[in-house]
Amino acid sequence: MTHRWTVFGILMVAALSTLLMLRVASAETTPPELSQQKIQSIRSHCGSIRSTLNQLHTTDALLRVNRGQMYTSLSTNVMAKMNSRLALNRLDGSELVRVTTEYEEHYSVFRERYERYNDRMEELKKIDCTQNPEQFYVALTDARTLRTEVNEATKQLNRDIDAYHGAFSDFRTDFLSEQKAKND
Amino acid sequence: MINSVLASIKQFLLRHQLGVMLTGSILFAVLLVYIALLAYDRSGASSLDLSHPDYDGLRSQITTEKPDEISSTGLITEEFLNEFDKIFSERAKEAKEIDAFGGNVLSDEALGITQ
Repeated sequence: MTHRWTVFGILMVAALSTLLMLRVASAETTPPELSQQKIQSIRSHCGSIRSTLNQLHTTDALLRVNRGQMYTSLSTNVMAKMNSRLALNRLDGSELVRVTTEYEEHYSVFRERYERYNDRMEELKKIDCTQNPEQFYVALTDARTLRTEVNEATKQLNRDIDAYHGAFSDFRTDFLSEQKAKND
Repeated sequence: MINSVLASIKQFLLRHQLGVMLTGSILFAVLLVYIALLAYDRSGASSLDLSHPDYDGLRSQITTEKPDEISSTGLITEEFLNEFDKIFSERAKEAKEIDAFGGNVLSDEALGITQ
């Protein structure tokens, strides 16, 4: 009986250790493999890389402001006003409201992702690429991934815009058909 | 012991009322500024603030918000729906005309990092 409990205990400890190791392994960011040639290239081009990053970070800030204004304006000045007008006229705009809500949720995702990307870019710019090329490259890889996520968020917003337009077209077709039927 | 310390503090405060008030006001103002800056940083507003000196040349490129073209009140008519469709199509086109944050601007090739 005692022997059975010992085996059970060992198995439990082994299972827990495996789970723990798997968690640790997945939490760690695998650093990208860097060849000596690449390290040397980062060191030798450090000045121009930093200059490009600074320029990109600045133009990204402008892009973020302009995109943000455009997305917000579309939501508050166009979609919300249309939804409100439909509600005041006691017409069914539920699909349009649903798409607007999704659009607003995805806009929040866009904001959060940009924040994360921006923070990583700030960190990246602080790393000395001549002294720490490996650390610099890890941060660069992260920033690259986060930028792609921001890009995906803008694509999702574009899909929402299309969805709203589609829902509006359906509403218009139905509304005009009903109006025509009433007049006939 | 504690009573005597408290009594001496009270005596000090009463003797230097003006100084204590001025120091307290300054410390309170510093605390409020700290909270405001913390909120400015944490909310993400700092990353969107183009009044930063580095962004001096970019400020002219900020697009101004378009005036309200659609009213949230009024009847739903065929004319209004057509007008809305036109405005929405223009805005949608504007939103999709550029691939924002796309491209390989951070790739090894773009940054001149050789393999």
